[in-house]
Amino acid sequence: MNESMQVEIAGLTLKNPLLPASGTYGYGREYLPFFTPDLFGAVVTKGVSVTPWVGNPPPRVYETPSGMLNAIGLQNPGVERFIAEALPFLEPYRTPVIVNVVGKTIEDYVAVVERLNDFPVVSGYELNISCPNVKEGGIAFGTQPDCAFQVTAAVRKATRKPLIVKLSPNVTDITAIAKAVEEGGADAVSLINTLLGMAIDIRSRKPVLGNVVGGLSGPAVKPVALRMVYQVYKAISIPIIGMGGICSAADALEFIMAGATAVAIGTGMFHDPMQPQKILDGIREFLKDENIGSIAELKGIAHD
Amino acid sequence: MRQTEALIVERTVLGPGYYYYRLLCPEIAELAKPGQFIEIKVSSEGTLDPLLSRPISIYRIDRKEGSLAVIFKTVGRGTRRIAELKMGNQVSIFGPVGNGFTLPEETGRIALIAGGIGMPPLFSLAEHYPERDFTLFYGGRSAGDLLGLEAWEKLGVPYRLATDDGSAGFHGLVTALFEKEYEARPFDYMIACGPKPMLRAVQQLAAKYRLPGALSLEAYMACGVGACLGCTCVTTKGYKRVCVDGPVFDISEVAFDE
Repeated sequence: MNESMQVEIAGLTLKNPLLPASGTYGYGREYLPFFTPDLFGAVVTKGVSVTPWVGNPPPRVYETPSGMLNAIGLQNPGVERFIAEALPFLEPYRTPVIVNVVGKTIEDYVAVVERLNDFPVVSGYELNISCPNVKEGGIAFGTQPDCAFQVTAAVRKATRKPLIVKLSPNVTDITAIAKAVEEGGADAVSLINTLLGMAIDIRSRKPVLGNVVGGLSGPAVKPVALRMVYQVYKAISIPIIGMGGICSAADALEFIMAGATAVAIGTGMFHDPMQPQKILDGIREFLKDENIGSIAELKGIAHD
Repeated sequence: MRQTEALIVERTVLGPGYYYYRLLCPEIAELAKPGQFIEIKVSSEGTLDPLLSRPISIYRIDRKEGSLAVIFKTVGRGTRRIAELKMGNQVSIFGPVGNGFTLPEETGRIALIAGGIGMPPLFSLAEHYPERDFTLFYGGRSAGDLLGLEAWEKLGVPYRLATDDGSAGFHGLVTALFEKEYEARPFDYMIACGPKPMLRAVQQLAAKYRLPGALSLEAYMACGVGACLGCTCVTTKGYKRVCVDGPVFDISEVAFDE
C-alpha cells in the first residue's frame, strides 16, 4: 500500500524517503513522545567516535534569520557506550539504522566501523567528513578530494555494509569531492552538512558561540543545498541523500526533483517535532494529486 | 511530554515588556511540575521564521482548570511574536520539559532568590508546597521589574525586594539583601533563578554558609527535547543538557566561567 513511497539507496530498501539528519535526532529516544524511529525510512544516528568526545563549550546554538548556528562539536559517548545504550534501544524497531561515524584520523573511522560491523542492527554507515565544528578531524577530510578519497577507500575496505559519505558545502567545488568518494567506493553521498558561519553579540563585543564559528542550517541554507544536490547529481552515478533546510513536503520534493533519492530533515524537526510526519503526509498527498505511482519517478526530474 | 494547540484564555500586560498568559492545555497541565517549562511555537502557521520554539518557564499550574500560566519578558524576535498573541488565539506548545524542582523532605527555612524574569518558576514551586517555610528575595532593575507581588502576598510567602535604582525595597543587589537577613536569622536551603551573575553570587553564598539548594538555569535551546545537545551547561560532572538534565541543578554542581 505504501510502495509509492519506497526507495532504494546503497542496497537498502527504505519504506519512505525521509531520514533524520545526523545530530538532530540523537539516537532516537528523545523524540519518542512524538514518534518512534519507525516513522523514518531509515534512522541516521548522531555521530559516533572511537572514544567519548565532550564537545564544544557553550553557548552552542543561536538562532539567525530563517536558520540557526550550531557548534556542538560532535559530543558523543563513544562507540562502546553507543553499543551498550543506543543499539539495544534501536534494535526492536524495523527501520534500518545508519550509524554516522566521526573521527580525527582515518584509523578512527576504520576502528568505529570494525567495532560495529558484527551488529546486525547496524544497516550501514554515514561517514561524517564534513563537520565544521571540530578542528582536528571531520572537515579536514571533507575539503580535499584526495583526503576524502583516502578515508572512503579505507572504510570501504573495512566493511561490506552500505557506505554513505556526508559532504561539506564549505568547498570550492563539491562535485570534485563527490567524485572522489564515489571513486573511493561509497555507495551513496549525503549533502549538505552545515555552512560555516558566525554571530557576534554587540553588547559583549564577542562572538556568540563558545566555539566562535558554527554551522548554519535551516531554511536559510536551502537554496544553496538544493543547488549542490543538483550539481552533484550530474557529476556522479551513486544515489544522493539530500538535506539542508528541508521543512516541508514541497522542500523535500524539490530535493528529489534536483536528484536526491532520499532526503533528510534536521533543523526542521526543531521548528516542530511533528514536521517529519507532516512531510510524509504531504509527499503522499502530492503523489496522489499528481497521479504519480512512485516517488522514485520524480528523482532528478528537474534535469530533463 | 505532549504537543497540543493551547487556547489562550487570559492575556495581561503586567508592565512594559512583561506579559502574563494563561493557556488551556489539560494534557500538559496534568503532567506539569513546578520548575518545568513549555516550548511555545513562535511562528504563525505555515511560516518558518522565527524558526525555533521558545522555552518559557511555568508560573502556575491549575490542574482543575487544565491550564498553565506563564509570565515572560520580551527580549527578542521570538518573545515579541508570542506577545502579539491575543486572548482566544491558539498556540502550538509542547511540554512539560525538564526535571523541575524536587525538594528534600526536610528543608527548614527556604530562601527563594529571584532575579528579574527568574521569578515565575519559583512561584510555581511555592504554590506547590504550601506547608514549607519560604521567603522570597526578589531583585530587579527597578520597581516596574518586580511582578505579581499580590500573588505572593495571597500565597502568604513573605518577600523582600531589592532594586538596582532603589525605586523599590533595598537599594542594591538581591544577594546582599539576602545576606543581611541571613545574618539576622539563618536559612537552611536556597533556590535561585535569574541572570548568571546573580546565580554565581548565590552559589558563592551557599558555599559560604554551607547551604544546600538548587539553581534553575536558562540557555539558548534548539530541539527542546534533549536530542541536539545545543543547550548544554558546564557542571562539575561535565556538560549537561539544560533542557532535560535541568533546568534545575544542584547548587554546587553548576560551574560558572571566569
